[in-house]
Formats: sequence, C-alpha cells, structure tokens
Amino acid sequence: MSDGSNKSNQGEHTTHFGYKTVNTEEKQEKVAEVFHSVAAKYDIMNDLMSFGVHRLWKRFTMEFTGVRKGDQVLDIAGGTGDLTMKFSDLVGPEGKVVLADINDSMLKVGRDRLLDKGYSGNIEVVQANAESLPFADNSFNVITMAFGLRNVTNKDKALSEFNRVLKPGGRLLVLEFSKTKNPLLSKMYDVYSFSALPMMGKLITNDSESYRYLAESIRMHPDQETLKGMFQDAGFANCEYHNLTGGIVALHKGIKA
Amino acid sequence: MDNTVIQAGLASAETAINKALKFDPATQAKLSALSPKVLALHFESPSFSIYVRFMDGIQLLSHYEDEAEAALKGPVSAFVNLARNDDKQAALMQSDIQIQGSSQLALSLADVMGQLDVDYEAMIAELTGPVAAHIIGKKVRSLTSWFKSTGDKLKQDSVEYVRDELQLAPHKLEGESRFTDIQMIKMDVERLEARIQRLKNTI
Repeated sequence: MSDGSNKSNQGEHTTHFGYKTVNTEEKQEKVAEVFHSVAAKYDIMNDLMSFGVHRLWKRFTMEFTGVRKGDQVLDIAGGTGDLTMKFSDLVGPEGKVVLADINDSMLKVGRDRLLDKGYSGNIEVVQANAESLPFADNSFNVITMAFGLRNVTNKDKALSEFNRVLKPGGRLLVLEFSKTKNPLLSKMYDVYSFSALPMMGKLITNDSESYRYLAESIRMHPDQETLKGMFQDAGFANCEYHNLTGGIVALHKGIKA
Repeated sequence: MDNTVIQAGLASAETAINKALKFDPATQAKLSALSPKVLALHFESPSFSIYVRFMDGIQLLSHYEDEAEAALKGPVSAFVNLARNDDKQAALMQSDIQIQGSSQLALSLADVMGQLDVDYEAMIAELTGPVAAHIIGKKVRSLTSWFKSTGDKLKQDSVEYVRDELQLAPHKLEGESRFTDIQMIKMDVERLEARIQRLKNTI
C-alpha cells in the first residue's frame, strides 16, 4: 500500500499538497501555514462547512473507542479538543488524555478552549508530529485521529508510530473524509466543496486558499479500502471501517495485535 | 439507515432527556448513582439496539464495544407499554421483555423511572417567566387530567360493552376462577402421574 509519497527523477521525495506536487519537506510547512491561518475560526468554520454534522461524526467515533475509567488516551491532531473533552469525562481522574497536534496555533486554541470549559487535571497538551511521536512504546489504550491523517506527509510512518505507542489490544480510530459511491451525492459534494467552501473561507477567515486545499486534500486521500489495507500493513488486526453520510466520511478501526 | 441520521436522532433524544432530568434532580441523582453502568435495549420488529450509559445524566449510543451490564430484549410495543405503565417494576416483570445480565440494574432503573417527576412548570418558566409558566402549567395539568379521566372512562366502558353487552369475554373474576380450576387440575394430573410412576417403580 502507498500513502502517495513518490521519489522523483531528481531523487527528491515528493508528495501531494492538495492537487499540487511538492517536496515532502515542503508539505509539512504548507499544511502548517493552512492551520495557522484557520486556527482562530476553526470551530466556527467546521460548524458552518458541515452544518454541524461533524459533531455527529465525532459522536459516532466515541462509540467505538470502548474507553474506560483509568485509560490512557492519545487524541492526535486533536486541534481544538472536541474529542479530548469527551475522553476526559470518560477516563476520570485516574486516567489521562493527551491532546497532541503538530500545529501550535491549533494547540493554543484547544488549550484555551479546554480551560474555558473547565477541563484540567487529567489532560496533557503536547505538540507532536504523528510521524515521530514523543511517547514510549505501549503507552496508550486508545488513539484517535479526527480529520488529521490526510494532512500527514508519510501516512504509513504515522500508522506504524500509532501501532508502536499503543498497548497490545489497544485500538486506533481514524475519522477522515473518504469516498462516496453514490454518483448523485458525489456530484453535489464536488460542487459544494469546490465552490461553496472556498467562498465561505473567504468570507469568514479571509482565506479561500486554505479551504481550496481542504477540498483538494480530501480528493487525494486514500479511499476506504486503501486505508484499511494501510492499517493492516502497519500491523493492525481486526481492521474495519464504517461509512458515514454516504461515505463522505469513514471511521477506520484497528486493534494492535 | 445512515449512521449520521441515527446519531442525529440519538443526540436529539439525549439532549431532550438530559434537559428534562435537570428539572427532576432526585431522579438525576439516582441515575448518576448507576454510573458508569450501561443498559442495552434490544428492540425487535423493527430490529435495532440502543445503549444507555449512565453518567451525570445519560448518554444514548447506537453501538457499545463492551458487554452491557444488563440488557432488555423485546418487541417495541412491550417497551411502549412499559413506558406508559405507572408501576414500571411490576409491568417489567409481567411484560414480554426478557432481562439478561444484571436484573438488579434493570429493576432499579424501572423503579427510578417509575418515580420520575419532571417539573415542567420550571422548564417553561425558563422561557416565559414564572407567572406565564404557572398559568400554562395549570391549563396543561387540567387538560392532562381531563385526557386521563376520559381515557380511563373510555377504557372501562369498552371493557363493559365487550363483556356485558356483546358477551364476548368473561368477567375478570370469572376468568381468574376458571384459570385457578385449570391450574388445580393440572397439578392433580401431575400428582397422579408421579404416583403412577412411583407404583411402576415398586412393581
């Protein structure tokens, strides 16, 4: 399985940034720029763009975490901490939730939001790259990544890092945009994402390019079966996925053997 | 059905229930005491499951990764009857609903739900203020009471019509007496059967 990284004729590693081909080092910087730009209005934009449905997708994800009191949870690419708050309630004071994100602007927004909502004590905020996690082997019972994997340059590396830091029997849940097989829905979705999204971005964050990238990166992300194969290649067992909203989004689950 | 639609339904129901529970602190406290237990409700025809997780309030789930502490399984109509019945514990025991796992959890939940007493007037007062809420509450109470007494009277009249006018069903006491007789005959037959068996063994 491949995550989209290639080696060009000149020997440089390239990958995609939306529909553009860029050097692998460049992608990380470009993605960082996107999220620095949208961090402040990330939550408002999420609600507007998805008509609030992203909350239902995250709610569905939580049902598959099987998280219990005392568990150690990593919410990678956790951004503004939507899932972290839910985990914090479930693991209780004896558990721990690590809210991790590569982007410090998103983390600052997330940390402030958690404090404003009275969440502290069992939460740690860490700036971390999914491709090289700063955690010991077998540390977590559950890892979740909601709408983050498509921005990772080397997805295979990230998946094997998740496998490394999960405890045996621990589970990885990746919620990500995917591919719908419904032709009508697909058509409507294309029109919406390439016309309405950049316009909304322009109006609310004065940045249409970041939202154009969002639409393009979704199209470049592996489909359900490919991502399932990547989970298996990274060493996960009992891999499965569940489509949401006709396959626009999919939740992938894998257990560390 | 798409999982997003299911989640939307569950999220709306959960919000409504938790909002209502805030106006019945006694029930809310009793439900919180059940935390972190999970009760599974498996409905038949149509077939679907809902999991109720007790926390500070409740959470409704469409899927639960572990085994629930208790599970109630039965037709939707049996659950509707249970919800309508005042004595929920007795109704649960007499219904077509099967209890699996901790029957104590199911029964204590039935007991808590039987004592549910949401202060709807306080709920309305949050939107309209106390004076309007009191007037609306009074009207709603008298309407509810009228519907209840009319419903009870209709039920009683229908029973009497079927039993006395049409003579299609026996009186409750008559039926009970007949069932007692049948039960006694059944027990006599069983005793006789046991005696015959004993005699056979001695011969």
